[in-house]
Amino acid sequence: MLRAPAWSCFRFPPRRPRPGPALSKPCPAAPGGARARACAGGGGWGRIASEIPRRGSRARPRPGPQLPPGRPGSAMIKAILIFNNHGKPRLSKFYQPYSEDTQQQIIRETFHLVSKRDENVCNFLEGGLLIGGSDNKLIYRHYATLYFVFCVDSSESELGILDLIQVFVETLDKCFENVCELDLIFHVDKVHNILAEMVMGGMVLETNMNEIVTQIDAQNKLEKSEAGLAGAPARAVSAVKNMNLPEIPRNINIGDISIKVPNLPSFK
Amino acid sequence: MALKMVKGSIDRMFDKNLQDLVRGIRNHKEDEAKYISQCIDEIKQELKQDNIAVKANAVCKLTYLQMLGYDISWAAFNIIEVMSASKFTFKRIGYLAASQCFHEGTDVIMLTTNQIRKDLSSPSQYDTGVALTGLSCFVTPDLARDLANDIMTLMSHTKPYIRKKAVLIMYKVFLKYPESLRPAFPRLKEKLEDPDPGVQSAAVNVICELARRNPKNYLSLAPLFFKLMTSSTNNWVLIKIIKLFGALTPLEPRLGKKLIEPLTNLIHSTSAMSLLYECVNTVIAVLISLSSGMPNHSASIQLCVQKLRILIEDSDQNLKYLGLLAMSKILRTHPKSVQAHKDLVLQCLDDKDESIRLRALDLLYGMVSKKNLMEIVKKLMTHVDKAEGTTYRDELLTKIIDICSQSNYQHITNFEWYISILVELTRLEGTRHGHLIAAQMLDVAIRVKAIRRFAVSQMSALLDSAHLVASSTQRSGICEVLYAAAWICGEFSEHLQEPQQTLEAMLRPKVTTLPGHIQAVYVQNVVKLYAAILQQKEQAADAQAAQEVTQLLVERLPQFVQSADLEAQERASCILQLVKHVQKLQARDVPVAEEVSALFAGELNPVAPKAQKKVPVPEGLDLDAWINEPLSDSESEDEKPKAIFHDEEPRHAKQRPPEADEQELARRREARKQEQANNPFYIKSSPSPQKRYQDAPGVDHIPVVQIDLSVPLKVPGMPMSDQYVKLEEERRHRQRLEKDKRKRKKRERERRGARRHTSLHTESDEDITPAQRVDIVTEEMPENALPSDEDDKDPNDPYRALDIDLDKPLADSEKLPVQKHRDTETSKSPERQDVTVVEKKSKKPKKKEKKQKEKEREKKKKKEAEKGVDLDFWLSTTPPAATPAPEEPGVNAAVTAPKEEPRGEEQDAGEDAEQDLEKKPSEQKKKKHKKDKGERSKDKKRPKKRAPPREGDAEPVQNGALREEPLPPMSSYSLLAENSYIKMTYDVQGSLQKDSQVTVSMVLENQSSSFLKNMELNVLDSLNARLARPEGSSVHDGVPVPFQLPPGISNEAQFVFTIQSIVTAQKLKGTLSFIAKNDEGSTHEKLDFKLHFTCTSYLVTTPCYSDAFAKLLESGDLSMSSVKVDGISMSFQNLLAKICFHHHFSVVERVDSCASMYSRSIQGHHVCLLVKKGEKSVSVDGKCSDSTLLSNVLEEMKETLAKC
Repeated sequence: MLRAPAWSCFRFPPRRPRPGPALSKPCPAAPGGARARACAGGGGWGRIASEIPRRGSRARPRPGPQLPPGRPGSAMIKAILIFNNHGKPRLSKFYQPYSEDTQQQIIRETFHLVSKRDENVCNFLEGGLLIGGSDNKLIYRHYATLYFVFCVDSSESELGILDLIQVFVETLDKCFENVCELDLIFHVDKVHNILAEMVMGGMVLETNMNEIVTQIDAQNKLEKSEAGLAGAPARAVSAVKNMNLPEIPRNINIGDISIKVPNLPSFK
Repeated sequence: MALKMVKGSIDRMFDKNLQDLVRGIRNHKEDEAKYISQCIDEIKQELKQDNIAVKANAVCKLTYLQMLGYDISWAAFNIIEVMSASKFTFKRIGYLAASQCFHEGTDVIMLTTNQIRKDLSSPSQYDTGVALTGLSCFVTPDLARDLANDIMTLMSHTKPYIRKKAVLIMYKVFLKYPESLRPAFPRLKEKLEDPDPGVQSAAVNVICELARRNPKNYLSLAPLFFKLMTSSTNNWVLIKIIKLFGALTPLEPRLGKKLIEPLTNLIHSTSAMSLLYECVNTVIAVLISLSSGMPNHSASIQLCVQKLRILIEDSDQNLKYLGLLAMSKILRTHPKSVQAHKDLVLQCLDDKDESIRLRALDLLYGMVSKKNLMEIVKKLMTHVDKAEGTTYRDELLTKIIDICSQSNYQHITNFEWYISILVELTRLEGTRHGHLIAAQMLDVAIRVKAIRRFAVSQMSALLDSAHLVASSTQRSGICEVLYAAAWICGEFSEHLQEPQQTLEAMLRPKVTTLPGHIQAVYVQNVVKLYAAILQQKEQAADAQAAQEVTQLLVERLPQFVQSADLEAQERASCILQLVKHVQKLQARDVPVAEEVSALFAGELNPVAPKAQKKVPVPEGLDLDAWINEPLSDSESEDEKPKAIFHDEEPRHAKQRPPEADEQELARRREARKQEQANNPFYIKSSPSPQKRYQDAPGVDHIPVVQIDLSVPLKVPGMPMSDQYVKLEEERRHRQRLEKDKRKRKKRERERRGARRHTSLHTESDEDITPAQRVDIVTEEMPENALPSDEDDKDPNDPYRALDIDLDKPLADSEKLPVQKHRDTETSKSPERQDVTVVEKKSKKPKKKEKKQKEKEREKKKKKEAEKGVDLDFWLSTTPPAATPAPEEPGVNAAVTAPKEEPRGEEQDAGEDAEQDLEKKPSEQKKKKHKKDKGERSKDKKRPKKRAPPREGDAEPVQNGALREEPLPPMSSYSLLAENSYIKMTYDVQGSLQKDSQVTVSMVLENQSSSFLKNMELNVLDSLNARLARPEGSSVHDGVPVPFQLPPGISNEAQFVFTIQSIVTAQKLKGTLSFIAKNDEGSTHEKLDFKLHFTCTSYLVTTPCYSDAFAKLLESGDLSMSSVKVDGISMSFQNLLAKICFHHHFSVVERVDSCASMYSRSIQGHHVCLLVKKGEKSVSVDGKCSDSTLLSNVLEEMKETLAKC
């Protein structure tokens, strides 16, 4: 049963406990890579997408003037981090220059701050010591195995950023078709490209998912056309390489995709 | 060739790609570092190859490694190579890597300038986009300066995708290159009304961010934002704007008044929590800025608090958090209304969510009163015991201290209780805030004289258990408390009951494990204690005991002499000798107590931390002047005298551990002092210490409520502060009874300082008499101390550079740098003409420049005055209706024009304004007159001196820009019509975005002394051109001008015309009707005019590159025509500038006295010109995709040139 959202404009779904076995259970340490992956496919790599409750499902008539779904806004996002339940970075984007060491420290610190929080507490956190200090806030969401953390300054609309994270994840879901952690692991460059269409230099660029997806698709098409003849052999090889991999998540996960993603209502 | 490519990619496919790398790393869990270093070696090999695909692949892998924490800056050059690849795929990889690892310190970054410029102008929007995205991450001041102009051009790109990125990146450019702000701002402002919502929100985003940092410069935009706020339905834009208003209102309280109504409406109507929350936030900001005088003031507060309560009560933790956050803002100004929700806040203190508890703690600060302080602190103390994380516990600790010490210990009725709370806090393990507790102990003990006896007893107990404190918390800061304890015991040793015992405690060997500065204090205070004991013993004539004490010191002091800390060592050895001397004297039975205690005679007064700084420098004293001229080889010894001054700083300074936030403390002290001055409760300290001593005995006759000695001074293992809570209750109860009794006897006795008018059951805070009469001694300040006027602004604040006045007209020198070639001057931007002007100008003698500067300054002053008037006008009008009428399509009032309320109210407003004027005291009136005069004189000059209407700066704000150059002043505004009332000038502009529309900007200047209103413009439409009218009106209706004109004022209105065919020029007849109102009455007037749409007005300045230009000419589908004009004496440079300006062309290339120029019509016709200058003649050859258009344009050009 889904709870009606509290702020209906930035319709932000509350986290929903995932059906099935506990996903947060850490994988037993596996000696070989193959086993580790198999284990991952079985449970540890929960699909992020299934974690996303759909907006359409909770639409309800709203009182007052009908406003279009909001664009969350922001001027200054200091950093965007994605890491998994064990603190392994999956994406890091800093909009302020830090040395590589400091970046790693920030990721670790943020992970420690975020990971020790319960599931049912608020999504805001006073900033850590390293990044920013008192003016900054960490706004995060936890989907399946991944934490999405935005470090923003005080001028931000907190609820807006929460919605932005949601848009980000949904966009990933659309671009990767049922995104899971493995997609982020192997295609971090693509995730970066998607992010670049949403946030630019620490400021929110676009929050309309359809617009973002359109641009990404157009770029992918361009990329394909550029690869053309010359790209064919490489694609073939990559296909062969992938064929050898039993651990391609979607093959294993097929049983898990019971919740088919319904078509999203367009939200402009 | 193709074979080679295929071969290359076959080679490539056996290289590791990113996926292989990731897979490999995951397969080498045990020796990850080794595997990665192997991979890096491979990558280095790959980077050495020529194949760009291989390089790109390598860079892609490096980007991944960078995320894992590996430094990849060594590959910076290779990254640049990949960035410059021709394929988008590779380019994107390169830019991504650059955005991840480039920063201002990257030295190769300057190599990218040209590459980025090329990409920015690439025909593919994605190349441009990827370059903009990358640049946004690593823009440096140099890049910003070099590329600002290119980016500004992109702000008017045809594709919204590029426009929004360009708009957004401008913020980064401004930060790095503040000089670009003023030239670029007009165009940025224009983008606020971009048809694409993405671009619009980007512009709002940038301006809001700018305004947040330096709000005062953006006040003049308030009307525009107000319009956006009332018309926008985009929640995000709304939130941004509302946040911006929150930043603006503190500067302009009238703005707040105007805002309150629409905001309250939004609060009532919106269902979006985020919007509601921001509205509440801004309303709070407004209410803070309005000190008083709003009738519905308290209603608004109530509404906010109510809404916030709903948020806090929500089960959603996020809303709860935000609700508390906003509540704390209200608390600052309206504590009363928040206090009503104390239950809620206390409830949140028990929340399982730490963030929420922290927010609730913030609120507690304002919730306490004399009545409930003890209760609340008790609750907090239980939290302290329960708290798990040290951060939260530390936070609790600081909050307890904050709450208790706020506004000069206002809420503390029993200082014994407070001291015992502080002592209890010392039992916290691992807290970082030992020094805070210590500072409080010192502060209370020094300033509350009545408490000293109790404090000393507690401190000596602390010292006794020092081994406990010291051993368990060596690593943490809690031992700082001993610093305070030792000092208090020493300084106020006369109150010690068992000085001998304390002395021994302080001389224990364990003490030497304490930090050095604490040991030093120990040593010093040991002597104070010693002096006290000596005196005691000698009075008791117990020479034996006195000698024993001396012996003890002689035995124990050497342990400090060996201390590693210099200070402790120095003091110890000094004192050891002293004691040894005393010992000798004692052996001869000489009484020494008097002399030893004379060492510490006199009382120490608390001195404000800034006291030294505030001592005014005596007149005629120049501290920087040399006393003796320095020697030539100056050995830079200025360090030394400084050190001396440090030593001479008053001793009290050491009481405050250096870690304490001095400024914060100072600020609190200031406030405290202020309060004390106004508070009849406190006995004020006299400025001179001598007088204080005379006052000191006075403390004794203050009736001190008997301390209930049944309380054991220390109950080990049991928190004793609880006892005080009970005691306090009893005490209050007793007091109440007593008072009752007194009341019954109707004996009105004024108690010292406290007035009692309240009845028993509404006992207010004031009714609780403090248990101790508190004499809170103020800190001393030097006499006639300077008022505190420090500028706390951080000079390194990057946003400070953006504090730029945007209303000042652009000066000629304020142009974005444009790339120039050495020999042939090609232009890549419409700014071309400006550059030539700048070059020209720089050759002129300096004198003229100076003069110009002066003029500019004058102008600026006037401008400011006018700006004030505009904003005043807007602000002074009545608040708008809740749902303002939608803006008519096609009629845009000029941006800073005084915005009027929707029709109907117009008349009233005008009359109001007039009445207002009359009502004002004469002084003000005079002022106003002056302003008006200034404006009038300026306005007369204005139309001629308009800045050329580049696309970017078409607003009237710009219109003061002076162009003093050898060119005759150029203005694209030409006279439309004029009579005794009004003068109309106009300019026609097209835009590439709308192929059948032109905008006519009309400047209306009131030349009479009447007030002009109800202006309406009507035009007789032709088949080809028609005026865009508001929906629903017929072709015969006029379009109202959205403003009124007081005497002498001019303003600009814009009207949109729809044009079918643009190849021929045309004229439209029209009429402006208006009502002129003066003292005698009002008359209906009208003025006929003829609008002339030249073919030139359909041309839009469009930059063109020489290669594209050449292709265009080669294509052969252009028709050709030419004209020749004789008798021209003007220089070629000026000639070109003129053509550019009047006919909207841009120079493509110029060689000697020959130039190719380009322009484009709004319907997409290309117009190319080749201008050649002979001896006295100029020939213009033109090529255009439409021959009629070309001949018309050339004809018009001929006319212009003939005037030269």
